Amino acid sequence: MAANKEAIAIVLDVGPGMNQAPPGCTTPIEESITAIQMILQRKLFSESKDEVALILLGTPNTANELADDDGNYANITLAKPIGPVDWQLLQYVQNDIHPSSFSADFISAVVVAMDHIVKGTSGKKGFASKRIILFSNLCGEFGDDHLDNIVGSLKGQDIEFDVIGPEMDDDDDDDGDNPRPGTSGQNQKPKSTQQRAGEALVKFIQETVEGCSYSFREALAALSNYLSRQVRSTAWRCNMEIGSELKIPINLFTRIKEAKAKSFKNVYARDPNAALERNRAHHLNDAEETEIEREDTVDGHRYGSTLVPFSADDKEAMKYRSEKCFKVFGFTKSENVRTHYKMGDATWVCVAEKSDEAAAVALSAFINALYETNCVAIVRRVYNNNGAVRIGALVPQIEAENECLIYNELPFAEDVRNYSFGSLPVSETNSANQRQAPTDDQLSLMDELIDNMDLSKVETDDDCQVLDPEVTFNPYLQRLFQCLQHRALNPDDPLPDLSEVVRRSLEPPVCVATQCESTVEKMKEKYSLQRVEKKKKETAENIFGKKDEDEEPACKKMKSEDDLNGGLEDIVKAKVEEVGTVNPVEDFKALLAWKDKDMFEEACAMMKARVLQLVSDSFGTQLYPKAMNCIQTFRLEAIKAAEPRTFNNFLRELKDILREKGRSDFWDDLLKVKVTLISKLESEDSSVGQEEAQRFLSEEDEKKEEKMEEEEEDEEDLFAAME
Amino acid sequence: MFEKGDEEHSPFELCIKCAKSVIQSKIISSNKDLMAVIFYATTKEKNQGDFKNCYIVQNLDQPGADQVLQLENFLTDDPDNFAADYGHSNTFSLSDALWLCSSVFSNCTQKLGFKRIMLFTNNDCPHENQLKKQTIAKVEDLHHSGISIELMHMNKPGGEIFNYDAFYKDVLIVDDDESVHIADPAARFEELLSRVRIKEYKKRTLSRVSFSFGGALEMAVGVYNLVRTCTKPPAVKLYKKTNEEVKTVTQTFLRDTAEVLMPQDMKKMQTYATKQICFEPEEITQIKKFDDPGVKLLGFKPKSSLKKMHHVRPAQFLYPDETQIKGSTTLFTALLKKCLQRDVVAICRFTARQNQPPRIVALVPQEEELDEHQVQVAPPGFHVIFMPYADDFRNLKFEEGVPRASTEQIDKAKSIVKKLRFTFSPEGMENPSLQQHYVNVEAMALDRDQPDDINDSASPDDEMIDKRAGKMISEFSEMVFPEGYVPGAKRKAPAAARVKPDLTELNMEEEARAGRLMKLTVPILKEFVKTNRIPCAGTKKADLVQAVTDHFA
Repeated sequence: MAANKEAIAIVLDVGPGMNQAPPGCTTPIEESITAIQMILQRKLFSESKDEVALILLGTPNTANELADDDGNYANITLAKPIGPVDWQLLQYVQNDIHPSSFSADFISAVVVAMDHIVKGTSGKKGFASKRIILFSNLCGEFGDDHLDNIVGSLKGQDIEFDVIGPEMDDDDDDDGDNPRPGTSGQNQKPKSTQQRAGEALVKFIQETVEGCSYSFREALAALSNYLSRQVRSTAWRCNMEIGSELKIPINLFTRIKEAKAKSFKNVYARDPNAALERNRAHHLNDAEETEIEREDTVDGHRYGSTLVPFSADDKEAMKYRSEKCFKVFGFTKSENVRTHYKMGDATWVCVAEKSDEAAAVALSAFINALYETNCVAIVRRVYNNNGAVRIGALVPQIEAENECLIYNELPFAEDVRNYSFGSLPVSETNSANQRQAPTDDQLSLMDELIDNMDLSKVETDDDCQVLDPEVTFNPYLQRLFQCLQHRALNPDDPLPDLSEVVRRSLEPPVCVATQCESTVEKMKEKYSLQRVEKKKKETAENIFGKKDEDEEPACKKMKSEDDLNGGLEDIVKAKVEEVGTVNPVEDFKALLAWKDKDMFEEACAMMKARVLQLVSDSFGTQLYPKAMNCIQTFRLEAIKAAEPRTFNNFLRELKDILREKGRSDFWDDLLKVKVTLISKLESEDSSVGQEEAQRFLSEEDEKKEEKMEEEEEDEEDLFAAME
Repeated sequence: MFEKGDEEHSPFELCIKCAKSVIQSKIISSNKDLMAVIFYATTKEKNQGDFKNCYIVQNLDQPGADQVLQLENFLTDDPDNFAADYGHSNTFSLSDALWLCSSVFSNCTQKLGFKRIMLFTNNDCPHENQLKKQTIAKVEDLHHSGISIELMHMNKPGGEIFNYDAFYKDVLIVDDDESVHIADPAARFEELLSRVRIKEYKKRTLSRVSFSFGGALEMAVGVYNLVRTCTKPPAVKLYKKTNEEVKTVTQTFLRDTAEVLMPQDMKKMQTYATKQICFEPEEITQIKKFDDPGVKLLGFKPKSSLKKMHHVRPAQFLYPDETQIKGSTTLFTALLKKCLQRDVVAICRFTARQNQPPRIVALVPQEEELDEHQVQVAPPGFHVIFMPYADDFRNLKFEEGVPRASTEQIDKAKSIVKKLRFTFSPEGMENPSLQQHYVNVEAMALDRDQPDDINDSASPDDEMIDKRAGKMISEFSEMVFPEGYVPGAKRKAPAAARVKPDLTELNMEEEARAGRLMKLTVPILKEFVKTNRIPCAGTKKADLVQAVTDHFA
């Protein structure tokens, strides 16, 4: 059992003095209740072992062990005996505390609290400290007889006495424990004589007994964040070795490590208490998916495409053997260890073995030596025998109270990815990407922005910097605790909104945000930034999805050719109004199938244009097959429609155009598949005889060589023009 | 190719060794790469087409142990077997061999990023006239379809120099900026034969996100990992009898009814102060979500405000991304330039992925650095340093009143530091556990008796340290340690003093009968269990007591 528990008695004044506030302001009792809730929340979520008792003073009734029939200790109630914080207590504080019109003696309440703590903790192990926190604005009367006795007992029992109440006039007895020293006073009404007397008394007690006083405001500010579970660092002990001779006993403590939320457990939705079991079954990859026992499996590793079985014995026998160590390789200039080299998930501090003075001196010598030479030590660290080997850097840190080395892990060769990136036009001498270099105008705006957003110049009401890691809480944990608490107390409510405190902790300070507004506006004008429209990713879904859109009507059109039912098909057909690039053949056919209008001429014109475009846009011979398909369809449809002339004219035209464009290779393809003019044999309306059609092809063959020469000349000219 | 000459290995053996070495390296560095081994100038033929004198020894595939072993076999096998299985021919066509290669590439169903033929030969003039012309045409074809050819030429047995000009000068297509003069291939062979077991990573963005300056001013950046722990590849489960991979199915079911539960039947629960608090899985997502993925500028701080100890996870890297927002490069460059000039870091809120809570990060500017060969050693951009939150700090109490070193002692330590200075670079140290794992898997796969030795570069060289600074170290020791000081002795002392628990005065049976076992200490119980060889379920006290009780029952 760790002996670090604390016993806390919270003493809350619910008397009349606590219920007074100027209109619109929260009353002291409301503030106290909020602060107590926060204390309890923090205890609850940090899973603290601390035990808490709640004592109310000023209650109509009296319920405490010291009360007697003579009216001593009257109107004081032990609302909750000492014990770990639970939800009932939190709920009680939230809902069931009401101000009363009775007054009680706060000193008496403190005595009740003291008595209860002492009795409640006697015989129990593990309490390292005891504390009484009094929430009161000290308006009530009090009796100061036996005061010396009381103070003596507090001192004797080593009980700390904190008061959260009115703004004290003089804060000089605040010590370092005070999280946020108060600065200016709040708009408070002048204190009564009674209050001043009370304050004097509190001060008198705190002169002897440890403790401090906070105002309500200070307490709320200091408690406004949930606290996650505190982890005590335990020392990792080893000898720091330099060479074979020098061994300095050291302790390594975790200093910074990401605090993670507790993990969520899966529970059965209809009955969270139902016991769940997980079962891992292994199946063969056969048709029956035969289940096999875990004992019949063995670990395997891939060696390329080969799977290599490794028994546990093999693994053990071949494993890399290492010994626990903390061994220095040597020392290197601190700039050789770059900021971004740090690995691992934590930062450690290295100090000499506890109460080993020789070790402390030896380590101190190296800390200072490294500091003065601007060097760091590189070490090999093995956590325990046969543990993983790590390398790390030891960086000296010297502060007034202590000296230490900060240890961070470093990457191995395997961990570094040497990607190269294009140069950026940062300097004028850099020739790469100069086109994208920022102009002087643009640069001076950036300067202005940095000036306006300088966080180091922002004034805060405490000593901390804006967004200082040590006071910025993890928003996720804060939000999670907020939700957990809300759900615990209101199981059927939806999640609460993100708290304002958390929201603000993630934004730049208001003054910074407003200061830079105009600069950002100007930058928006001076920098040209354009979001690139997202192209549809070429996923199978997108491609096929698109095809479907185009193709489905096409399919239906085909069907409609077979059985001209009209109806839906007609409507679908009507959508096709041009010969597109995706499915020109289908589109062409669809156009010809229009019933309400003869589209032959128009469709042919479009088809001609499309073929020419396909051929001339084609990269290499890429689109030739498609164009070829078009021509063949065109030819077929022309014969069907008894309009051979349209096609024949087109083919003649095509010949000339292609020759001009230097696409003779497409002609060659046409010749190969023997696409020629439509002859009389094929269509009666043709003016072209069989012979002529044949000649059309052979003509091309004859002319081919000539043409090649011509083309070569053309090309040369083209190059000449380019130069 | 098969004559040994004065060399230890015939050129053929050298080629096979090279091929083997390349395969072995690829298996670790880029195991998705595909390899094929093709012989040409054989008498036998084996290929999909009708290419004469070409033999596909290994088809294009992800290599594994079989491929390595097969190649190894060539090194030990009787040359007569080779003649019988493959044969030697002089009537081959290099053009056909290259054609076969290209058809091997095009028959591959996988998408290939980079296609390369490594041509091993010591024949400096295989063809003339027509066949040469064909070869030239084929090489051009390959060049157009993005296949590069690397000539790995060797001298002929007897030391006759390979004459590059005789044939290959006219055949191979050399990029303009590459030197036409082909250097001695020995270095390249050496490179191929040396084994470096490091996994190679393809440059990939983790995510592309927008970087908001506030208002509507946005640019786009790519996020990269430049350092990340390289771990052992995870093991897969195999069936012992057949070594085939097995599928593992995990199911959750109710203990009472054995009803198998689907994710939608479950809620997420945490317990605080004995209260079970449940959320729907979607609510968990909602709790985690604050922002859309992206970087949001909060302000600037001097670089010096960044503390050395602020580290919770490895850094990432930002580089502008023109594919999302045009003009990002300019804005990014301006930011980088000014941050460098003014020595400031940008403090930002960074949400890396959808439904991830934000972290506060410091963007540390980095200027591009080139080495003497104009090779980039540090890319331009911002390192993303993750700042800790207040929750991440642990309270540490430093021991008070710790003595400090005197100037003299510090000076002595300084002289040791100076003597033992080196230039640290992560490239210099390999992870020994990982290297051992690689050689182990290889040894098991190839059925070796012993894995290769690894070079434990991550072990400090004590000998060297003693040699260079031994004298100063002993002087330092004298200055700081009292005589007879044993480092760490203090904590060892109690361990040494811990005597074996004495069981002689104890009647364990009596204690057990009286039910007083729980009152005994764990070491005593343990010792009793050990000396009496009592089977015991565990080392917990309850286990030990149970074991002793059972023993006497």
